[in-house]
Amino acid sequence: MKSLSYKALSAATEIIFILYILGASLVMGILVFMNVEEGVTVNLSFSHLDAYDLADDYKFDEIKLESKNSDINDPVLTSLGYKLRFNSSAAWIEGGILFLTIAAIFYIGVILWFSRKVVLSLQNNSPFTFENYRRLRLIGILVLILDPLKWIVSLLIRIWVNSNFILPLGGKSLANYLGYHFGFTLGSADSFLYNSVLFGLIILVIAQVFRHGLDMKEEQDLTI
Amino acid sequence: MPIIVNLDVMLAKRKMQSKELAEKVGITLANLSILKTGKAKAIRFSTLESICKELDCQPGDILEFRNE
Repeated sequence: MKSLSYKALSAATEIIFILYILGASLVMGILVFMNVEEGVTVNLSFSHLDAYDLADDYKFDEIKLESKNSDINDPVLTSLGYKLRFNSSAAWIEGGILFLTIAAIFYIGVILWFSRKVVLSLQNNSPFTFENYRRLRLIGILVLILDPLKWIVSLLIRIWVNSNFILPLGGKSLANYLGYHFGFTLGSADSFLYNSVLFGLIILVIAQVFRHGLDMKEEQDLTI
Repeated sequence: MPIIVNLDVMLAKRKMQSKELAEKVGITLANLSILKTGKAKAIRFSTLESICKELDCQPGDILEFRNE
């Protein structure tokens, strides 16, 4: 395809991919070289929707919390962006943060990589190849389970917070509103049903269309 | 495939090479051999018309149905 819209699409895809690599390297660099030695400061924040919801109940600047765990130092609940902040030098906490960050970067990276491959394959040949069908199917599945996965991680963080901190009790259980914030919020109160699940399904439908196109192309190629 | 394409017989009768026929009909030699070896799934009427014209024959002379 040589059309203008294709050139725009492939240029946009390349730019997004390069920016993503740069951003991911930056985040990883900061995380590894600045935090791992002196211990890491973790910010667990509420999703924006919940912050509005909670605003009236918790009018405070900072509350010092008690932690049930000696690895966690100076836990503080602050109303600036509604965060629960603490320091830790424990290897397992740093390791956990590193793992979550790498996993998230890798997940999105894979989706972007395969999308880029599909866009590049449109250049000269017919788009209906078996490779493209498989890539689209993979992207569809990854996008489909993206939000449910986020929800599960949020749940695990909530459980962890409940078992490691003593939180002020109020009208609402604070731990239910926390998620881990690293670039995008793992919002906890949002329903996952209407986010990536819908788009994942659409992409899977498109993958099936490509499969059908593949059959049609094969038929056409063998029509003399 | 139960439809057999018998081009070789007709080509021999008209003393024509496959390459020559392909050129005259306007298809590639590869496509012509796909036709000959029975790998083709369909043929366009326009192509069939061209072949019959060049070989001066009827479709039945080159197409045969075998009930297998």
